[in-house]
Amino acid sequence: MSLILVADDESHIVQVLALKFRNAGHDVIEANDGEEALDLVREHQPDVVVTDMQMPFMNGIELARAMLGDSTTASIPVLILTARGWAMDECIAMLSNVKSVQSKPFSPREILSLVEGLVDTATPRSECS
Amino acid sequence: MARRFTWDNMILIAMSSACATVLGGLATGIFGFDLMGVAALLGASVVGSLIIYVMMARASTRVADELISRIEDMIENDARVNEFESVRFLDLQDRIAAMHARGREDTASRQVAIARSEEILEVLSMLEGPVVVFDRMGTIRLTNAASDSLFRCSESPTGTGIVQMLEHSTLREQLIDGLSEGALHGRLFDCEHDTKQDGEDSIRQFKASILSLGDSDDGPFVLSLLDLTRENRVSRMKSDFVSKASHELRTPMASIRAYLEMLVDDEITDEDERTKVLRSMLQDTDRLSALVDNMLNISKIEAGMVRPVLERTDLGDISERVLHRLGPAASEKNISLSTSPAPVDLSVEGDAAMLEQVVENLASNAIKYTPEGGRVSIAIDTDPLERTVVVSITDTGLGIPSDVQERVFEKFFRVTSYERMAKGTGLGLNLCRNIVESVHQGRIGVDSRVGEGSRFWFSVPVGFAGARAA
Repeated sequence: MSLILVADDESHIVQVLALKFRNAGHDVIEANDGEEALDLVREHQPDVVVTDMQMPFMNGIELARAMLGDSTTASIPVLILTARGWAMDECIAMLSNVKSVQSKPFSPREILSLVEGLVDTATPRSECS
Repeated sequence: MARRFTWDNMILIAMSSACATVLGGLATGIFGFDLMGVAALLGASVVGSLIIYVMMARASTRVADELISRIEDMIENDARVNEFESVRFLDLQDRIAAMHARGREDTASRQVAIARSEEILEVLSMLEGPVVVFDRMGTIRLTNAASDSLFRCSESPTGTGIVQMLEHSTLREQLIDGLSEGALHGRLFDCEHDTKQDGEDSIRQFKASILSLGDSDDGPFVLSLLDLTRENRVSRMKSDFVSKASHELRTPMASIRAYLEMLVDDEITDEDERTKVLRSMLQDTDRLSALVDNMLNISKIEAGMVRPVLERTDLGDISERVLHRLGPAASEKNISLSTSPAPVDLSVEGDAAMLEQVVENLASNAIKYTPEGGRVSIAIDTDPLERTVVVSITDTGLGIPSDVQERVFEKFFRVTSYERMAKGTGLGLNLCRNIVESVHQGRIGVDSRVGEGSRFWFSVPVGFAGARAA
C-alpha cells in the first residue's frame, strides 16, 4: 500500500483517480491546485505525486520544481497529466523528479500501473518497508 | 560660337600639317640644319599650317555656300536644275529626310522611354510591399513609397548605401554577404525589421527576394519585400486558439473517458457512487457541448456567416425570462436575483435569441462567481443621448483586478482567482462581445473592484425599434 497525492483543479479528475487508487488498496490525498498540493506534499511525504499540468496559483511544473528544491521532497517521483500535449517537454527534461508525462484523456488503468511501477523503483519509505 | 571638333577638321589639320612639313623641309634645305634652321622649320610649319588650314577650310565650306546660294537663286528665279544638280539635290534631300527621320525617331524613343519610366514609377508606388533598386556597390538608385517605413530618415534614401540604411534589419547581414560574394541574384530569405515603434508590433517580418535586372550578378538589383507580419500574427493566433480549444476539449473528455473505463471494469459498485459518477459525466458532456456551441457561434460571427433576425426586441422582457430561468441556480446559492427595468420603452432592433444569450451568459456568470448569500441585479434603461438601451448586471462577487478587466473578453482568458469557484468554457464573454459589437454594433464592458463586485454592461442601438415607437 502506498500514499499517493492527486492534484488537479478539475474535481472530476481527482475524483476518478482517487477512486481507482483506493480500489487498488492505496491511500490518497487530494489537492485542487499546486499551492495546496505542495503544502500537503511537505506535510504527508507521499510515495508518488500525480499532478495536472495546468492549475491555478502553481502549475504542475512549478510544483515539481518546488519539490526538487526541498531536500525532504526531492526524491518523491512525480507523474504529470496534461491536456497540452507536447508544449512543455523541454521544461520537464530538466526536472529529474518528473518520471512520466501522460496526456489527457488517459486510462486510469495505465495510470495505476505507472504509479505502482514508480513506487517499486523508488526507495521505499521507512514506514512502508 | 565654338567650332565643333569634327573629322573634317581633323583631315584639314592633317593635310595642312603635311604641306607645312614639306615647306619646312624646303626651308631647312635653304638655311641648313642648325639652330636657326630648326627655328625656321618650326616657324614655317606653324605659319604654313595655319595658312593652308584656312585655305582648305574655305574651299570645303565654299561648296556648301555655293549650293545654298544656287538653291536660293533657283527659288528666287524659279530656275530649272540641270541633271547633275538634280542628282545632287535629290541625294541631299534624301539625306536631310533621313536626318529628320532619325531626329523624329530619337524624340519618339525618348518620349517612350520617359513614359515607360513614369509608368514604372507609378506601378512601384502602387505596390504594397517595399521595393528598393540598388547597384553593385550597394548604392540605392530607386525606392517606392512603401519602402519609406524601412528607412529611419525623412529624406530620400536615393544615393545612399543600402547596407547603412538597413542597419535595423536582419536583411543587412544578408546584403553584406551577397555584395561581398557578388552573389545576390536570385536570393530569397526571411528577415525581420525593427521599425522602432512603441509596442510589440515594432518588429515586422518580411520575405525578401533579390533579382538582378541584368540576370547576372552585376546588377542593378531589385530588392522586393513581402510583409508577412500580419499573416504571421494571424497564424500564431490560430495556432494559439487551436491549442487552447484542444486543452478545453480534452479536459472534460478525460474525465468522461476515465469514468467510462471504471464503469466498464465494474469498479464502481456502490449505487450512490455510481449515481455521482453518472452525474459528473453528464456535467462534462454538457460542458463539452457548450464549448463546441460557443466555438461554432463565435467562428460563425467572426466569419460573417451569421444572419441575425433583426426585429423589435424588448430587453426588459428578455431580462424577465432570464431571471425566471436562472432563479433556481441563484436560490441554490442563496443569492438574491432581481431585475429592475426602467418604466420606458426598452425595445431595440436586434436578434432576440442572441441578445437573450448575452443577458443569460452575463447573469449566470454573476451567479457563478458570487459567494453564497450575495446579490445579483439586472438593470435595464435607455440612454437618450446615445439612442441606446443599456443592460447592466451587477453582483457582489469577487471583483476583477483592474489590469485584467479588458482581457476577460478574450477567448479562453480566465481570472485565476475565479478558477477555484467555478468552471467555464472560457468563451462565454467572447461570444457576448461578438454578439453585441459585431452583430448589433453595440458596446460591452465591465467596471469592477476586487472584493466589492462587478458590473458587466452592454448597450445596443435602438435602431428602427425607436423610430416605430416614436
